[in-house]
Amino acid sequence: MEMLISPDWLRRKVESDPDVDTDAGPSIKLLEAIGMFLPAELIPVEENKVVRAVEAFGVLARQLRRQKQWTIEELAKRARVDAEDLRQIERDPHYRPRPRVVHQLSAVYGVPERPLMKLSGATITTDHDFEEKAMRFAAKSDDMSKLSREEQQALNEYVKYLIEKAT
Amino acid sequence: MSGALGVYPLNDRRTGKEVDATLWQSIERRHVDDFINKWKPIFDARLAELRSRGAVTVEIAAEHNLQDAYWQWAEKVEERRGELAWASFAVEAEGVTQGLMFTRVGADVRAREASQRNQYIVEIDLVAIAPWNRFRLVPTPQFKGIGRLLLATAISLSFSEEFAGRIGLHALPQADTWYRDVCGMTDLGIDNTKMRYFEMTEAQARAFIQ
Amino acid sequence: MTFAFQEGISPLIPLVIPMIEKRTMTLNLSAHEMDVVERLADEKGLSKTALVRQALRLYQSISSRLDNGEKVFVEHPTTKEKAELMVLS
Repeated sequence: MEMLISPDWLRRKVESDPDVDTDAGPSIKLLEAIGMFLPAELIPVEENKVVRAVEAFGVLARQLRRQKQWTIEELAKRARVDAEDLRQIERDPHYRPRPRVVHQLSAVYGVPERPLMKLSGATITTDHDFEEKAMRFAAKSDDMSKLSREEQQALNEYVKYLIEKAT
Repeated sequence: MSGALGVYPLNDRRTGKEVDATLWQSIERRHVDDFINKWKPIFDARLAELRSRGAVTVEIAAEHNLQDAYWQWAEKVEERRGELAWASFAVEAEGVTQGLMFTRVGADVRAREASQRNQYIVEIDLVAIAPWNRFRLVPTPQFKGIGRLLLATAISLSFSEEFAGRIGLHALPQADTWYRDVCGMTDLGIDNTKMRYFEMTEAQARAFIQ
Repeated sequence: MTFAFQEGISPLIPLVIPMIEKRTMTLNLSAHEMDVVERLADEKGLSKTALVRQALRLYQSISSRLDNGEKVFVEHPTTKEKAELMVLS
């Protein structure tokens, strides 16, 4: 391979070049997606943060089901997952669903999979904003059979956020 | 498989003097060793410092130009060594690796810019400069000219491949101005990698190496 | 490394010749194969050598995926339907 520049060219140009960084590289998102940037020993895994995210996932799952006015059994049938799994998701804030279940729920509700995986604890994230939004959303829900107007709004806004996160 | 492509003068900002750097045709074991033994400790120290202030997300790391700190260099070099699609380059000065680059070509590596859409192009996969040469990591970065040298190398490769100097790359946020305004590349905006993608046409490439 | 001196330009311009040598190969192709090589090279604005080098890279990449047990798919541009392009049988 022939170099098309001379030492003198470099000398000349460098003189007038501004002082800036010139790095180019692998997608930041790519690194995040394959966990390459997050070696476990570096990032302090805050267990309580993960639990809160998972709890928010349970709330989201429940709200989405209530919005459709489905029972657990109906959802289990439609999503082709175990009803017991769904009950655990909605009730137990420590219960982390298997990725397949999250995948099925994502499909049946039309909510993007990747942010759901993060929320459910299936994948790790240290996105502060994401965590905060999850907690705020979870705090807005109530345990009544039909969603209130406020709950509907909160649910729709949160789903919109998750969709934006995915694109 | 390795050879020196040339000797080029870098500017040492700390002394104001010129220092000769050798450009190598592929990344060798010693360059990877330099990354592990000389570059990484500095990244680690900086990361530790950032971490003491709070969790380090990918975004924060990028801001401090630390995003490639945990790139698996040794593995990547090995993985790509036997593959024809990949080429790598290293810049050495004062016996130490100062910069590294990976490029990719192939039937699927095509230009996006309207005037050259789908034509073959050299993709710069990674340009990494030693931490003591990075603005966001040290108050007085040492060598100037490595980025320019590596870009000219990619363009030379492109011409030798018969791709008329066409190159493309994803720039790290703080390098946007460099590629767009100084190098004269076309800014094709942020793509699905969440990074800004730049391309050089033949005309821009020829202007750059003028 | 070889150094050459060019007079009248500067006292010393080192011309370093890369250690990667180029080797030559003769290909025996059928007339049809040769036609294809020429047509493809033409379409892509490449010399036959450059074309064959691109082909080689593609071949190596797919071949090694198949050897790893991976499958290679094609996706229909509009229906997004996937069909197996290559798989070891």
